[in-house]
Amino acid sequence: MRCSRAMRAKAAPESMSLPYAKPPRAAAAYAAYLDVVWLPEPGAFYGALLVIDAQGMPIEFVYNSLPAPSGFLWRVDDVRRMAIIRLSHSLFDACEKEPALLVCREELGTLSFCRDEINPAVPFAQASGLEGEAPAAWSWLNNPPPPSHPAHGLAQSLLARGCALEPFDRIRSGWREVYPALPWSQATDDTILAEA
Amino acid sequence: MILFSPRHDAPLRPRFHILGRPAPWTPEVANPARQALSFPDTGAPQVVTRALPWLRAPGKVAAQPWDVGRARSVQVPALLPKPLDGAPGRRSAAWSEGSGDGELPLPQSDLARRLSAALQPALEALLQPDGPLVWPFQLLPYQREGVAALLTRRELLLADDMGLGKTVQAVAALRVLFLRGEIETALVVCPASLLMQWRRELAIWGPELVTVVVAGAARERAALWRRPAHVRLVSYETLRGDVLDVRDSPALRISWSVVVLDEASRIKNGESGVARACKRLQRGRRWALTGTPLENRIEDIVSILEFLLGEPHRRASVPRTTAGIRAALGTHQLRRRKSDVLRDLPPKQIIEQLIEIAPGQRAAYDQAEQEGLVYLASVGASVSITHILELLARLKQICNRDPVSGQSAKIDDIERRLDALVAEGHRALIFSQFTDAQFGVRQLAERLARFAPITFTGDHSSHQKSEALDLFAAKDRHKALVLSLRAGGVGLNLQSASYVFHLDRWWNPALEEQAESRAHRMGQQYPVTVVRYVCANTIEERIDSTLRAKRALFTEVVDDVTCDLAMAMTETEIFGLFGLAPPRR
Repeated sequence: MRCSRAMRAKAAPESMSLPYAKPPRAAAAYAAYLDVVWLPEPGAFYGALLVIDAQGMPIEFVYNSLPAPSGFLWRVDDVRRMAIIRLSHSLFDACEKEPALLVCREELGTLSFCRDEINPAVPFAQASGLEGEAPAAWSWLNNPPPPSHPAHGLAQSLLARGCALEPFDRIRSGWREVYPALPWSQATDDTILAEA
Repeated sequence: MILFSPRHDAPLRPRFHILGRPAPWTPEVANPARQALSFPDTGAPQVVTRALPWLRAPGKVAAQPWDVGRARSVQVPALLPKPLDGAPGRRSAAWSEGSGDGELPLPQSDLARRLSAALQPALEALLQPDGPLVWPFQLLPYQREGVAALLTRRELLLADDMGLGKTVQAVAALRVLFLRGEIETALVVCPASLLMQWRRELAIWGPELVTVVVAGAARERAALWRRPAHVRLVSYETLRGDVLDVRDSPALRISWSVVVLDEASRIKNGESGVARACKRLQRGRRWALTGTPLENRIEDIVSILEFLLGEPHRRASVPRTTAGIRAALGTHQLRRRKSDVLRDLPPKQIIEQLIEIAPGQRAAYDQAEQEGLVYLASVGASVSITHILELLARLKQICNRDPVSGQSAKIDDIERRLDALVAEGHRALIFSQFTDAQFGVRQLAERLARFAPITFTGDHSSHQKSEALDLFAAKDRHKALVLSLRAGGVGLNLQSASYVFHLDRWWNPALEEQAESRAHRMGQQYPVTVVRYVCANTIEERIDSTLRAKRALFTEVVDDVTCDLAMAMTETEIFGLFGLAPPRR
């Protein structure tokens, strides 16, 4: 049997000198984890958005900071509230991927605050629960996404992989890389403004 | 009073408020890149359509005099090993900063690279069966612990029992390290008989990794050392030759991120060529894998520790005291026993079969022993241990088979047992220290021809060995695999057999245990039956009692990390097998 040119070409090794298999990225849907913390020194808010895929692999890291005003004229709650809103929206704007789901820690603010001020137009959940206490859980703003929504399967996949709260630890690690000189052990949710 | 909107996204346009209320008009949206729905008269929310959209509620935000800068975004690349474009140890050009290629699987800037490492999921998540990495099989919990230990410790003696998957743990750890970009080059040194098995395991458990087996003629090997690869596989003997006999050895020029010694007891003699070659390698991480870190003497472990703790030009000061060794092993050894971690592993039953040799065999044996003793007496004071070992080998051969009459009580018994166990659907491994056609592997293969046995000895090439194993795994009609103890006793996965026969006994019980573990290992579904033959009233019976004592030594020293050199076999004991005393020097 004669071998056609096409067959011979197929049989020949590919021109890649060192072929290797790329593991496929199974999930097209991404989840974004939002966090904002306060560092008393240097007196600034730090925000980050970690985008991961359904298997928990990091896709994108967006970060920003916002120095707080000093002075007794500012109410601490207002400053914190404003900082979270501004940082969140700046992170959303800079995010290049299209997350199907947004998650924040419950310490970020109440559900109503998130609904009224951060107001993402994607399904939004707050993660609660600490290690050693109650198991981590997500509380949904409004209702959980319906089964037909990409966020539904995404959330199930992430919760099954222990990604309810764990990505927030990775955000801390990311901040340490971005701002290595800052005292990250002092990061807190309790804003205490310096009195100038 | 007019307040200016605090929103940072100026291109969208400012929103004006009067005494906290929205102005009755809203200017046009200036940025065409954004699609904004505006409801200026009703005050309804705007939908800002971005990658991550959010709803803008007019009039909600009070003015603030400080502004937020633009956020920075870093894209995290997929986990892939560093691309290869040159000799190992050299930094890949594609990895260097500022090379902007869209196909680059790895980040381009230093910050991106550090972020990429910092943002990876925890190791436990990476090793999960449904995690981001695809694993061919599920790693068991103790194996995940082993991988974590390999990743976190610069030097580790992984001394798990045979059959617990040391190779798989090492390959999984290598894969994770390569994918995280933490290592660039790895060298695996193993017995020649295991090269193909390592290659196979790497292909299964680390499919992204490029593997090169360094073997063949010297010129070919020189090229293979330079060929780009993630993992290089080499046998102990080849490494010894290429390190000690080659000027400007390529193996020594490379700075290995990881050096793995499989069956690390091969370097137990610290002064041997293979041990010296391994210790001269420039190595970052160093892992030693063996189920039998101690075979005979405490120096066996000392040499392995020297590899782990030393540097190419600085010999490690390894303690030689019992307490010192115990402390060092406590720090650098990870050992799990089958009974601890594989509670579901079928049991192993050992039959010490005392067998009466056939009359013809007995006559030949008695004659050979008498002649041997007479010869030893004639040699007198110059008798050496070599003379004793020669006589021992001769007598053991006759215990296997009478060369004159062809009688063999052991092979007869194996044949009879095979008939029964094959009828039940079982298969067997048969080990002998001899490979020849009269007393060992080939004789067995000839006598057991109706069971379609496959042979596996050190005489076979790596390719032939690999073929033999594949054949035994694939074709059920081959009911027996006949192996030489030295070539087939280590590293092989032969769970399809559930019976193990030792035609003759080796000096070292650790080797016998290793051989039995080819079948009694993870994946075995049936109880494993081991039959060890001992010919009554022969040298084998005397050897057997010695082996029992050595078996006790192995248990005490390795598992309980205690050292008692008095248990090691001495020259006196070897001479004592014939009721002789060693000559005074």
